[in-house]
Amino acid sequence: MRAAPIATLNATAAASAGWPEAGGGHRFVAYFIWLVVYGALAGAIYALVALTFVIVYKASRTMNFATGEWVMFGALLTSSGLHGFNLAGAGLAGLLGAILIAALAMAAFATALSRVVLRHMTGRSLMAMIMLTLGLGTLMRGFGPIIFKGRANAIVSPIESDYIEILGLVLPPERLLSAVVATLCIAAVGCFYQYTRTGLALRAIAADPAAASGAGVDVTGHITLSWALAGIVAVVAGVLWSIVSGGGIGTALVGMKVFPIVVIGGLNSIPGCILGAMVIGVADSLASGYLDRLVGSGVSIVVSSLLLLAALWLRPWGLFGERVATRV
Amino acid sequence: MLSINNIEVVFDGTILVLKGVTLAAHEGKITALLGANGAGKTTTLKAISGLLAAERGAVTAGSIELDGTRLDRMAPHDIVAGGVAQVFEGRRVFDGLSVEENLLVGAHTRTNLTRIRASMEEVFSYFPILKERRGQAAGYLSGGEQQMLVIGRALMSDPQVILFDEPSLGLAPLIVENIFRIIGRLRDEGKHTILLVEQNAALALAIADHAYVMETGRIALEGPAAELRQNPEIRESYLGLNDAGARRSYRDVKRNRRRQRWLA
Repeated sequence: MRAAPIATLNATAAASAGWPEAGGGHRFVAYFIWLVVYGALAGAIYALVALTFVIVYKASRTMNFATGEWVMFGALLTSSGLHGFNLAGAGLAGLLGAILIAALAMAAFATALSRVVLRHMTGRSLMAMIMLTLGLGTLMRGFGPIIFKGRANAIVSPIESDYIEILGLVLPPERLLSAVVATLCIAAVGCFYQYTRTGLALRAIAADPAAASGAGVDVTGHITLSWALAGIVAVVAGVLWSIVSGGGIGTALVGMKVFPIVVIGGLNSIPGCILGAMVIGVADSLASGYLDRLVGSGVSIVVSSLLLLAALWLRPWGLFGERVATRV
Repeated sequence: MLSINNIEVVFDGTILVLKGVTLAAHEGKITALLGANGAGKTTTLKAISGLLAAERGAVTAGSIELDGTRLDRMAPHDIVAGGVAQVFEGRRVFDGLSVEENLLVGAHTRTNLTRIRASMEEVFSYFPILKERRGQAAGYLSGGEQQMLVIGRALMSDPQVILFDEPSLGLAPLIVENIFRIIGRLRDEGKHTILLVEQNAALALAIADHAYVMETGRIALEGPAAELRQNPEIRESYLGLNDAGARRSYRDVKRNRRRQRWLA
């Protein structure tokens, strides 16, 4: 079961969608377009996953190396709620109810973590925080199977899963739906940052925490809020990922996508995180569409790692992650 | 009245930086706090605004009170809400945010939107240039404009007391003159209580009502500004003048310094 949720998405889905081997002429072009669209749909979910990382980084300069595990917990909490409370039969309302329960649980977990553990870390080195989140990720991955043992972890799409055709492209509807929900979710978070006073305070903290504190912003409170928000976004991301790729403990592997994305887009930029996710999503899809059959499956993981290296080499501050607006 | 009563500040649990500082900033007056680098001026301001904890410092003795309310146990945002705003050293604007957004962050502790609008108009009346640049990213403002923005941001919390940390630092003389004129107006028209930390003693003493001189974590001298302007020690050490009003050679100043250390 090596990295199944990530690598198999595009290739197997392509096969099951009934796409023939790439032929010549217009079929070749159509196949290429299909791969790009398919990758972009995955990219939208990747962007949501990366957003959980960016939210925390913006507020506290803390790199959450446990992002994949957070997403996994979000997914497992939702599926446990769904099956534990017998909500699975209630269709969309049941799913939304389970998501709500999981979001509350995750926000509570994040708040507790921020209040109890992280507040003692103010003024400590970046490395100490990185080790802490790495350790947390390991703990979550270890305890995940114990806590959620024996519970069904499937989350079924609320839409009847039949293939639909848009502009001549055959696409699985649950994937389309997931991408739309992810996009709406990112837009909502973006609007929250741009148009609310709390969002404004969060942007001020991202720019200069000490000055924000001096201007009357409760910095520790807002950092806690960011963790909670990241927890809620992780639940949504986990659910969407489970819908398109099956769910379970393997969901944590989606965290591997976060670093290429945020390094390409810039650690603290929401537009950058969307763009980085699109690059990774499309590159994945193209790689598995064209290269998997030549060199065996799993190439997409290598490709995103190569992109990560290239980004570190060429633009280590990311595409949008520049120190903004410095007068020269 | 803002009063600091015999406070001690310790960093990292071991380093004693302020060793019993007592001072008072009276209502509607400008109180200047002078001293050399490392004397403890900025630390005093941070003790008032509650920003020491972020640097692993703490007030370990004494008290800080604003009209009888203890500030030294309060969180920074509660202190701002309680009426004390700080203008940081070094023009700490929020780079990527627009001028208007920077000002709005300053009003974070307030909820009444019409009163916040009124405060913003007041800021624009003090600094018309900020109104012209309201949509621009703060990082692209000139140094003087950034200093104005930081002062404006402090005004947005509707403060009773404003703490200024080196407002003249790194600015051209003409702009400094303008900034200090505004500080005078904030006292005269805005009725704000002002505590002004400055290295440029001549500038500060020209505008202040009362002044304190700090040396190595203590208050070394205190008095009405008019008196301190005439004090021979101040004239020598901080204004670089002797009694005839002419500059003295460095050798004499150095001897004077040695004498002071001995007396301390």
